[in-house]
Amino acid sequence: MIGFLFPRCTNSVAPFWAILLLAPLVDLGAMLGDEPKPEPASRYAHTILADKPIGYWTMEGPEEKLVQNHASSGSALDGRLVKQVMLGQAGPRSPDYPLFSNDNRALLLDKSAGWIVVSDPGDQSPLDFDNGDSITVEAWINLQSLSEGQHVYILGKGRTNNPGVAGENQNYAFRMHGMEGTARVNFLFRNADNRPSQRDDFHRWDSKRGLVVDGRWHHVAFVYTFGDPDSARAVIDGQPGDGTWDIGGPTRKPPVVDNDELWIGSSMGGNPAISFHGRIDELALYRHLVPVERLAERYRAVFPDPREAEYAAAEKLPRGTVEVGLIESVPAQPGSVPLTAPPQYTYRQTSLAFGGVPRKYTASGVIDDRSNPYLLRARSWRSLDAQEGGIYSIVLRARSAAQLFIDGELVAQTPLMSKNADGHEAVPELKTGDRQDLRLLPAGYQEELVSVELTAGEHLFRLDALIGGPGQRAEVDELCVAIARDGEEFQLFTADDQPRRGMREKDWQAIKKEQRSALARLDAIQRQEASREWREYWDRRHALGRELIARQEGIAVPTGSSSNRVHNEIDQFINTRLDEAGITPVAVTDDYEFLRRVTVDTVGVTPSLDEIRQMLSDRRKGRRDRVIDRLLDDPRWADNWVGYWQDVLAENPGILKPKLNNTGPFRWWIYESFLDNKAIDQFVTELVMMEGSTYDGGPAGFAMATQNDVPMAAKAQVLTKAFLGIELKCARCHDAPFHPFKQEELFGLAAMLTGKKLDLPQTSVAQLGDNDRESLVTVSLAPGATILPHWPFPDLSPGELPASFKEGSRGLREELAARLTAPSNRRFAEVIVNRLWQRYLGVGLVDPVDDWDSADDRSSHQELLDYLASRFIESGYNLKQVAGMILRSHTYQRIVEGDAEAALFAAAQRRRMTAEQLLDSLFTISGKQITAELLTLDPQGRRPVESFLNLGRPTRAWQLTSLSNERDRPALALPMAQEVVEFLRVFGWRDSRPNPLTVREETATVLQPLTLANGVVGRRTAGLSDDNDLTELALEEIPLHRLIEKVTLRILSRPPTDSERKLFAALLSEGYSNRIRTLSLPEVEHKTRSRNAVSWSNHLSAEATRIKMEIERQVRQGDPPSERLQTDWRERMEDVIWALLNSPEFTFLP
Amino acid sequence: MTENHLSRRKLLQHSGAVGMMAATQATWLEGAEPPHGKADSCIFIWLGGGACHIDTFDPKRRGDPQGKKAGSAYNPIDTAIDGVQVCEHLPETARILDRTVLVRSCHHDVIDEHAAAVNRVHTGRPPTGTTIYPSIGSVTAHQLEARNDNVPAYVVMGYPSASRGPGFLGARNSYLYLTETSLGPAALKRPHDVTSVRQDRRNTLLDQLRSDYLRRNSRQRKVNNYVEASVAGMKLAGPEFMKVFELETESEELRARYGGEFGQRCLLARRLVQTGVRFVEVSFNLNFINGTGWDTHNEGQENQHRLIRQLDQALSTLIMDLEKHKRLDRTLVVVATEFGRPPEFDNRGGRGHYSKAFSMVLAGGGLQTGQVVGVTDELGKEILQDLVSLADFHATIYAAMGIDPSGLIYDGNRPVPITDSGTPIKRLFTG
Repeated sequence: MIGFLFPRCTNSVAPFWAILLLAPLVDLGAMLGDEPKPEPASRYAHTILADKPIGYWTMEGPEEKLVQNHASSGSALDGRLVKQVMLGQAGPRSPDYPLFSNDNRALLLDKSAGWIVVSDPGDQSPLDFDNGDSITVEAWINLQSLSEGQHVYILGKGRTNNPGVAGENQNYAFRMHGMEGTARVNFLFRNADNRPSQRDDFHRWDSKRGLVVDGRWHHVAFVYTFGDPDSARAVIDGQPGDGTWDIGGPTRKPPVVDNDELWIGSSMGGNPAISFHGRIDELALYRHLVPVERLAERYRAVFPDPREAEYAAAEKLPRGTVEVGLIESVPAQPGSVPLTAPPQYTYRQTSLAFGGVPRKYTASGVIDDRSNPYLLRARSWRSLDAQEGGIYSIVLRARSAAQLFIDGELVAQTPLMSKNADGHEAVPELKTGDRQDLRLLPAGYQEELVSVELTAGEHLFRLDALIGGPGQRAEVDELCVAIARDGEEFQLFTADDQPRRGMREKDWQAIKKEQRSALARLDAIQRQEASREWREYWDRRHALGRELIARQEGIAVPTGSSSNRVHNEIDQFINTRLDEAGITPVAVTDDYEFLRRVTVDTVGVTPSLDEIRQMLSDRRKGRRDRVIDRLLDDPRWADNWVGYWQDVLAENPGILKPKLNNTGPFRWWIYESFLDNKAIDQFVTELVMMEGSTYDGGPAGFAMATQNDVPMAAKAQVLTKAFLGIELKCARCHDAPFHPFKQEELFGLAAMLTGKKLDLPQTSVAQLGDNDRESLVTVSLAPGATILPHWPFPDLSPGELPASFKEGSRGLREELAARLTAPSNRRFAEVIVNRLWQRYLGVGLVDPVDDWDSADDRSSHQELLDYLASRFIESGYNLKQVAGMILRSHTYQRIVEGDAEAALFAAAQRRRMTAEQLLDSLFTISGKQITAELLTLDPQGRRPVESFLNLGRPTRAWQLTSLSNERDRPALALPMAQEVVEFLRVFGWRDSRPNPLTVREETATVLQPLTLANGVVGRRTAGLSDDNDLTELALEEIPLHRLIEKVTLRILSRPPTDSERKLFAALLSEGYSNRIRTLSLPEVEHKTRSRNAVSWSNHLSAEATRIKMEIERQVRQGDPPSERLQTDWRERMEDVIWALLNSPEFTFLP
Repeated sequence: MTENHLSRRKLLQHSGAVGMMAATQATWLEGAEPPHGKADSCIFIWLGGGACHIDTFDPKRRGDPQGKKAGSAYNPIDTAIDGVQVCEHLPETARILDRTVLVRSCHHDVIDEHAAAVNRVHTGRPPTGTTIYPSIGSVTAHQLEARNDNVPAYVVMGYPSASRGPGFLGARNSYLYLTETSLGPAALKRPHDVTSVRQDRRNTLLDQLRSDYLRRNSRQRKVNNYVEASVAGMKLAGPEFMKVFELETESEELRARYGGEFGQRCLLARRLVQTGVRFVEVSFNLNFINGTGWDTHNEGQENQHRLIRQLDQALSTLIMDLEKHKRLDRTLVVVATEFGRPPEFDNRGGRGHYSKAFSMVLAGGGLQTGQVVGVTDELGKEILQDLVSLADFHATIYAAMGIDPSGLIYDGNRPVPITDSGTPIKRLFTG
């Protein structure tokens, strides 16, 4: 019997496991090895054991570190769990899988690559297979993911990378292989030659048929006799089938045999790339060929009728809405997510049109990433009355795989996005579809147009769209379903009772705009909900801060300054100092000037006509304070802060592959922080914790510093400069010569950020050479020196922190954040209020604001600084509180009078608008959109986010970014965005920000006025095109002097002077009365620029270059002028607007 | 915290205070002054993408792209320098090669990413995390300024990029750029629909608004500087400088000799240099010519010869045209690229990146031309003789223009030598 079962076992002494096999196979309970084992009770187990496996792992086992073998070979072949393996997970169960009980259990191998080890009992064990041996192996599997080209191990003998055995020693392996969108049964062994790095010694077999990775259980089996390559067959879900050999091809050579282990779920040392991700159950291994007919009978599955299932799942779905669920961690395969899969997030909208999806947030309310890919599942009922039944055309548009079901039936689908995107493809033709009522199909999108008959009554629509995929960005921006009744125009699918929408370009733009604000509202709610506990923690901390201030002796506000030019305490401090210097403060500005100054300072753009009117119509006392209150509440407050912190925190995303000191685009987190008026200590803490999304806007993006040998040292330098006014730049490579800091101090902080000790790399130490000349620089650390994490500024944040400050106990980063932001660290509060002061007054109370050790005089306004810092801590680090105090002060509202008076704040400083403020003001004045391209070099989303970012379509200046890619290829240019970026750059905005900076270079250059005068941005503002609000103004039926007044107010925020009135009237009166042309056409269709199909995948084609150069020419032309105004008069009006915009008065704040 | 805290002011007072970098600076020749060239301008031709040295200026034995046999893709031809050969697609340049110096021993260690290599070749040094180094164009602009007050010091024909930027030297040392010769520099060119009558009208209006504003805001430095800048800007946008861009005033014959868009850029470069611009970077990476430009992966190799021929035509015409205008001695022409390419071919008959040895070219500039610097092995992979580091290459360019390569520029208060111990190639200088 032994000889029959195991032909190679000729040893006269039967090994222990062979003896065990002599026991009769009748009483299953009694025969299981040398100790009693719980009986595998299921009917299924009886079927398996009847076929006499040598290994049978049912995965039912109660023991936590063991997978029991239920075959007669017994516990010798029990499996040991390694790493992340979860037992007791749901296996195939009744009623869907009727051969199993309703509590059948399986094991789960998670992404982190766990596996199971079965030791080889020794030479010539039942696990060893040689030529002539037959093998059958089978299992139930439920794959969670399998990418194209990936091979994952269900079971393999050898090739473990264990020491003491030959490399690549694969006796046999039963695997699944992702191939053409399905999972194939794959068998692998290595022949006994096993020559090093000889690939052909591997022999690999793939089944021709595969299964779809769909979240369901499948049965897979393989049979083979070694030495007979034609004997290989697979059985998948009851279907036997053939396959093909590759690599070394079919062979009669014997396999490599040794005493290496058998592993379940992984191989090669646990390499995640070849590890099984999903569930395995009922794994059995035989030393004979189980007839394929018998293997086919192992699979029994009963699924409910899809229509009923669909309706059942939608039972609670209300009418009149589209319910959207986002389901994470799904396989990158279409149609693989069961209806019952619970979404991580659900929301509602009115249509099956998706310009975006809500963000995900962490428990501290910062932007997080969804899994890539994830599934967007949208469902909606649609009822058709008796007249509406009939034939409908339906179009589905999606980037990657999407499926549209009506009443459970698949009616349209798009395939997975192709992965090849190496630059050599052809530029896709932008299709108009077959129909004029459909907007152009965006580049990189796929569509299917189908015809279906819909009867009167209620229908359930379901859209399943796979978002992203391995190596692709997970983005939603143009996904939609549109529907047209026979002979009628296409409409976007909207839920019952929702307004119907066309599918032309303007409809899409309108719906996208609505969705943007709806999504922003959803995001705000989500942020709040996700972070409730976190905010409660901050409330407690702020209470502690208030207590601390209450305990301290207050700073006395001086009284009795000689001037009565006082609005609040700030002025008392300032005027007292002026008294000492014998200077009299000047008066405040007039209301127009005040409004322009304070509006730009708070919301970053010049005031609108309405805002001016509103202020003027407020006749009650204190109207300036009410203006300030309104502006502090304005959401544009956030826009005006992002650019500032991008500079200070060196936010530096690169849209094409990492360059020096690139970070993630954590701009979105900055924006949301200021939108929520987040307390600054909380803001800093979140920054230091570096959690959430790296590439999609979370503070984790701050952790990055590409091509930097010690990124955390760069971060420490940013943090100290930003929040302590300490410049450690020089300490990066040596002890700082101009500052009292040693390199060790910087690296101590860097070690805190890293969370462990740091070894100083060679590249971070200055080479001083052995020159005779005495160097001013000293190096106290040697390369390779080890620096322990420590807080190097005991003077600033002394002693132990209260335990409550480290509540989260998230380690050294949290401690660092606490030391930076604790109220006992007065420096932090002082630095922040000083930054505010510098922003509004042009120069800090301590200056430079980010390098206090270089400040000439730190004592001139120390009391005021102290006072403001206390108020700031008291307010719970609320920036708007201190900002309000400053803006309300007489000091802030003073007029500008020469340069000398600005010293000691007797008068205001002349300040130029920042680049962002200028650009945003220009677009506010014209009411136009920035109209830049999508800020990405891969609009098709086919490249990984690690090297191809998409920063979206900018609506405000801070959203722009460097477009420089050092490749000089016209096809990679973004001509529209380029003009905007150049405008910003000329005015001092940094397109790349490898280093932190607070005060930008302010030199006036010739290019500044020139760019405003001749550049595209200025031209678009001054040009009276149909989309310019100034054109509408010029078309109003008002007398000329009112028009002149309105235009001047709109551009300079003040009425025209008498001489300006005369000047403009003289030019514009001629032809004013008949300036308006009556057009014969009912409405001029706005010309839209040709859409751009160029992407990284095709940028090397000549066509891509041609398209981009054509777009560049179009951009240079500016917007086409309106036909509604007589040309000659329009040009004169444009010249007036141009002159107003180019006057220095426009560029400088009043 | 350290005990010896030096204030910035104190430091600047410290005589001979040149800081740490200078301490490592080797003098270029013991006891000798650095060579002081007589060039006053530089035209820096940029072959973006990485031009293959063995397919251009350092030909080797023939290989075969299809058969994947390593080697040059073309045959070599003789040149005006005895015993020196270049690729057969450079016949015109070969004829006048005595006006040039081939530097065949350039090298650095960046190949994985274009941007990093481009930055290396433009700044002449590896990046550090704490500062942004200026480009060679910006350093030149900073050191020499324009030869004429009414023109910019530094012009780029190509796309704006960080590597071409002024780094810590600041906006004043940045470039004026244009992406196409016919479009002209964006900010300088009057919009197409603004006639000179309209522009005059605009200026009249603006003059009044501006002088009113100035009257109301006298004694303010920032305002004054801005107004001065706009007046200077108007001048720059005025006829004197803008005439330079009117290539149509050149003879048809000459324009044809320069060739396509790249040639026209070279012609414009000559005109810019004539008018007083110090440094003109001319980018030549028009990838529609062969698909990939000089980055000849895959199919890009197939039509590389068309790129080389355009280079040949434009470069030889430029050199002879400068000579005819008696500017060749005072204009250093540089042909630079981010790296070379290996002799081996990829699966689709193209080439990867290679930086252990590659060629750059210098022409005119008052140098001792007609020489070859550096020798590479039989396939152009190893440098056998006369290594020229990027710092040396930069030092040579600076020295040719009379700039001391070890001079100091300042990043705030931190002194930075113009090159990292770069030594000019001595035998290119007289005496």
